[in-house]
Amino acid sequence: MPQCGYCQSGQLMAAAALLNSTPNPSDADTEATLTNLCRCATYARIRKGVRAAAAKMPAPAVAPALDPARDPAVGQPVPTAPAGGAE
Amino acid sequence: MINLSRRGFMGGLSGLILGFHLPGCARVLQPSDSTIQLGPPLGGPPVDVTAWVRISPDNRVTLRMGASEMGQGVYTGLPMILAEELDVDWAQVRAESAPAHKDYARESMITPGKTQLSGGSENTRGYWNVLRQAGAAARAMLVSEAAERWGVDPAACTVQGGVVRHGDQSATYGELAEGAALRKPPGSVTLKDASKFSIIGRSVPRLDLPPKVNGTATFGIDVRQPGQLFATVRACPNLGGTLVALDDAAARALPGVVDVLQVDNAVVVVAKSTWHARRALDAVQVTWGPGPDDGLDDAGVKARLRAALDTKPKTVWKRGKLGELDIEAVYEVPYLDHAPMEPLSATAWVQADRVDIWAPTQAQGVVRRNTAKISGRDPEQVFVHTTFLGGGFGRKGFWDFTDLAVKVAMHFEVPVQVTWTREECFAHGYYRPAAVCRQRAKLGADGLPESWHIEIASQSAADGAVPPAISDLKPLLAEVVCGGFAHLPYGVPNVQVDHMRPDLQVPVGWWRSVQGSHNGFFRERFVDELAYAAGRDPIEYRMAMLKDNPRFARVLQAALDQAGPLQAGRHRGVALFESFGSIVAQVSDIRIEDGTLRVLRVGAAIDCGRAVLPDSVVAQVEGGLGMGLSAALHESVSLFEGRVVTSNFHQYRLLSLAEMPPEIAVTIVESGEELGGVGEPGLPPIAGALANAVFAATGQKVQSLPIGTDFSGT
Repeated sequence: MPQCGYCQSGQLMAAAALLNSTPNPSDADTEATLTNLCRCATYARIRKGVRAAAAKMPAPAVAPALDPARDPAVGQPVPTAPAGGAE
Repeated sequence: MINLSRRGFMGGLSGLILGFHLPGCARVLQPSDSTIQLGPPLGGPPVDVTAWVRISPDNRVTLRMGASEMGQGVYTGLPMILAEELDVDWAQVRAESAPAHKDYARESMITPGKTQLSGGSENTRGYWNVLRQAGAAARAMLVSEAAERWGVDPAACTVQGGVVRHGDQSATYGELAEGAALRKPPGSVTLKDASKFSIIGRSVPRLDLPPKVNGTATFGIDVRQPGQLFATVRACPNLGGTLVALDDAAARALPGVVDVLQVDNAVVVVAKSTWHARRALDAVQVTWGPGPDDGLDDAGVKARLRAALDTKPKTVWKRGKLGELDIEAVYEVPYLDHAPMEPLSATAWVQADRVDIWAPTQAQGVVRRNTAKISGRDPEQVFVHTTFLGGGFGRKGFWDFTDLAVKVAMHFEVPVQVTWTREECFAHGYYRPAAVCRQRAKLGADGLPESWHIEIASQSAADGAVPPAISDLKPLLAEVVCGGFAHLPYGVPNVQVDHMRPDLQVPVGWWRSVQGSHNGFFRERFVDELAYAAGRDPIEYRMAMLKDNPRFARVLQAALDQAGPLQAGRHRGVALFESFGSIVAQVSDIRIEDGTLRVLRVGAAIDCGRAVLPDSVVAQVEGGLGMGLSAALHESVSLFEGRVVTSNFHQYRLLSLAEMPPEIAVTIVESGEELGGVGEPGLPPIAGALANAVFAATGQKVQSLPIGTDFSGT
């Protein structure tokens, strides 16, 4: 559960990636993977949230991780926006 | 996304009605353009019954909040107070940000008059009376409207869920709002008895969480206005230094660059995007002049603080008369940065007849005044739009970043957003003052201290906000530098608290819990030293010193109950600290595993009088102890050659999820005493509790922070 909420989007993406690769993560898995900083220190509730999400998600809920062997775009540089373009 | 058209403004302006006299009940003086809108959607245009309360035909009640939402949950807790007196169901409640305006000010615990500023853990305490009165007044207006329609006595009407009833007749607030809005507010109101509260004290779901979780929340840095430009800044890195010369030819030639400005002693690049501005800023050649203290480094800071201990003190508080002193210890803490995750950012739009500023500010009132002054407009022409804050912790209670946005926007006809880089935020903070504390005591025959002398050498956290003459007033020093020692809760007959001013001009300011951020460590570590000298258990020793102060003893006991029995292989430290009207005790159980310090369990208790939104109280204690632990273990701002050289998170380590204690148990002690604050009091005890646990584990007498986690040598 967020406080200021500024890091929340990143925490959710990191948690989704973790649950994608490790559907039933241990606290040690969570600690090793969720390295996003939270200055409000809501970490205790992030841990709880990951556990709760894992319990509710029998199957991977997000798309499987990209596999460089199958997807040639993985590892290639991302095209940059043209100079002077909109933000 | 904020979409604000000129037409929208003008439409809003046409509906202005002047306010009345009951505080907090004036009509809205500014158009509705709230950057934050929370809760269920509106089923029709709302009517402003008072400045605080707007009601739509579908009986949704929108409560306008003058405070800043930076994670404390005030956009839920404060509406709860108002909704309680208004007699509506929580499901009907929406919350919106209010403009900076005296109508939305709160009472202050420390200054006379009202203020609109989120600081000092004062929002709940300071808005408590204001919002209860505002809720009761709006209720009275709505009930009077119904009673007049029906020709009955208002006192004979009842209200439940925003529906007024008398006999068989009923009307929703939504139906009554338009008529109620034209009524005179009551001269006085009767407030509910606390035993009748049905919303206050419940952990309702926070209104601000859905947009934060689904990504739609607008922080200051997210503000986008039509035609907006983007800027970034680099000020002279030498503290107090000047900009001597700049060559912007190369920067101006880069794509997307609109202008390069010198503002005071800073370079500002204005461009089509923040990224273009940042790239161009790196291409500006600047010659910086030295500051007045250009040789200052970390060793110099320590040396000057130590030297200040031997200068003439100012006694800020005393009890009894000091006798002989024989036990002595000296403690020290470094400068700290607030490091909110959202970098400083503000957007200003200066037009002929009005100035708008969108900012994640904790100090709307000051921003309005300053913006008027800088732009040469009347304060009534300044419109402050408070966004969500991506963390504040005191840093966004300063106005340097909003002032700068206005100064830059003065050069343009379009809105300009000025966003600081992380490096710029670290280089120009209002740091938690570094401090040295010497304590000396003498134990009596019973082993308890008979005399206790406290000397603190430190700049004052108030220095950044008030002139020196005010910053040096004894009552202010007793609070913002020496709080916790002054008015010592422990039963010690002879106490003297002295302050010495070091020869340091580093910019400083209030950092979450202010004085508590160092005194929680200084005081509680020394209490353990005294217990050790007396050969007594530190918990029993504190209880003995609190025998005439049962409220404190109860909080310590509650924290111990949360901690439970100490498990084998772990070591325990306890600490207790009162700040901002609340008392918090924390018990920290640690283990040193393979040379690494780990905090495994923290038991905590808070007595804040009454908890309005209990889950947020618990969350604030958890987060407070997490931030306190971060500082105690890792944090330190480093200076070299007169500048801050800590530049980003690789040099300013914050607590990680892996380091957050896996077991945290927090309880609320409902004492029924006066309301206390919640945002800050959860922070101070943890450093002392941790340092005491380290002593229990290793015998090391921790005398300076940060402690670090590497204990491989022990």
